[in-house]
Amino acid sequence: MATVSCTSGEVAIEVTDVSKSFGSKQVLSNASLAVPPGSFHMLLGPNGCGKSTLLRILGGLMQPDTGNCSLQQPIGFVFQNPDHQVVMPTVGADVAFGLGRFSLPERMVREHVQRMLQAVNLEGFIDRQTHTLSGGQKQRVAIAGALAQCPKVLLLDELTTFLDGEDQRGVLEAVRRCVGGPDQVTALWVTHRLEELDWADSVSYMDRGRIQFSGSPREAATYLKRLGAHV
Amino acid sequence: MESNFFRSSRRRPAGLSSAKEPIEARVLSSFLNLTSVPYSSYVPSPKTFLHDIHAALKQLWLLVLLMVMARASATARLSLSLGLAAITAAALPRKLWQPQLRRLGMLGLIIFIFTAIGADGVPPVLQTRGVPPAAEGLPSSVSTPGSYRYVLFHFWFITITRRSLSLAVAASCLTFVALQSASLSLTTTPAEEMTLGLRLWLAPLRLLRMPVDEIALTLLLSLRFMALVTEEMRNLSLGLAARAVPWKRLPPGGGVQVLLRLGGRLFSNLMQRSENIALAMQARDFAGPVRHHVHLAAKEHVPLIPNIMAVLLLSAVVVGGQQFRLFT
Repeated sequence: MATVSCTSGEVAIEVTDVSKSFGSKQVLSNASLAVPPGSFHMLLGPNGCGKSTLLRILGGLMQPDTGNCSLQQPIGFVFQNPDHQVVMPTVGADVAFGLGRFSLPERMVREHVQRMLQAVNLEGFIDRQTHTLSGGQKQRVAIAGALAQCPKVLLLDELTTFLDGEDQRGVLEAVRRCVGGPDQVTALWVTHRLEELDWADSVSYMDRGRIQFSGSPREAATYLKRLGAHV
Repeated sequence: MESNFFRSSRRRPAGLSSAKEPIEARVLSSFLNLTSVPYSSYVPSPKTFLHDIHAALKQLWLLVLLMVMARASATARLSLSLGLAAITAAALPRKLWQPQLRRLGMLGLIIFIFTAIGADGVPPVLQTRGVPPAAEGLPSSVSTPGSYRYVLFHFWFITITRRSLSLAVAASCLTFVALQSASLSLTTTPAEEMTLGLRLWLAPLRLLRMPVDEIALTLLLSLRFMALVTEEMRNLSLGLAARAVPWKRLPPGGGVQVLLRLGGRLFSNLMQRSENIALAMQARDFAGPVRHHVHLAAKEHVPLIPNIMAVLLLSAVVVGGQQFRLFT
């Protein structure tokens, strides 16, 4: 039996024995993971190992075949390609998009949006057209949009794949700034770029549909070196 | 001018030294030369008088302009088209208005030529060309007063008549004005304001239970994704250009086949993008246009003078046109 539920305990994200298949292909095989609140957790692994599938299950976009997932609510999801996530023509309207289910005064929304843009280092961008932004700026707008919903958990799917070094750093800084704090925001960052390890509080390595290793960034570096990676 | 990338990536196959590119390569090149500002996207600067006019008023202008164009005389149609081209040149930066007007002018010219030649010159296939029985015994030609001639030009298969000329002017001017006036409005108005303007005009339809919010959100998303279509087209063209297809060595129809395949790929990529966007909207708690309130920032200060001037000018076009019998 598979469940995805809300938790308020000592663990922000808890995955227990989750499996998922697409037809005859098993993508997740008894994957288990625990992430403490207020931490920046990096999920590493080669392409096709099931990282994005696990993230989508946690985001409620997919159901697992078996196993349990529980995570703190609300959650914010940021996708790999910001062009898919940034849906409004201007930055301000896009960051406010997730607030559409609430009936809030426009002034309050604008102030909130400005605070979120400040958090991702995009002050003064509120009236900018989204098609005029660089890839990294669009990605930060997407993060601001997710943050605007005041999430307890941020699920971030390979945000830096299409970015150059400078934009990559900007996005990592933006996430790092949001994690922890008084609200104890937790970030689960999926990536296959090993140079991003230094930004994390904790790391998990995934391969063949299951978590093979969890530990600190230093322990992860040692583990990956043993596997033959250049860290 | 060709993009540098295309020029550098285009390797001419050995043994071919023709100076002229095949039409397929020129089509591809035109996609690559699309401006970095997507067609009809909002251009915030330089700020012009058109930027100060309220979106709802611009939409009224568009409606009136199309109605006037539909009823105007040929002279009035040409004057309005030229006037619109002049306003475009005055309001937009040169690098935007020049390619826009060139492309639309070319489209208008093609429509004009085909309609002028085809409207009266091509005999209808299913209609009998014989003299009706009622016309038997009449003189072969009817003399007309003055210098009036129905057939203005005739050479070989080309026949241009007064009717075909009038139809050609109407079709080309209407196309030009419909596309250019909409484009001018979009380049000088943020998409959010256009949506708020449309919502304002459609508000009374709420009483009839029309899905006004759904229509407004559809407009807003369409305006946002026009940029994506241009971008996808450019990306696919870049990919094809980088492969340096030897157009002249392809078998007959091969070039068209490659371009058709490109079109198919464009369509499937856009569908894939739409699916991903729908998923992202779902992840962002979108619960449908009725329950989801989209926060749109309206313009805080609407300058009075340009808007009053726009209303007065609109009245002058309508009243003046009636007065001077420019409209039929």
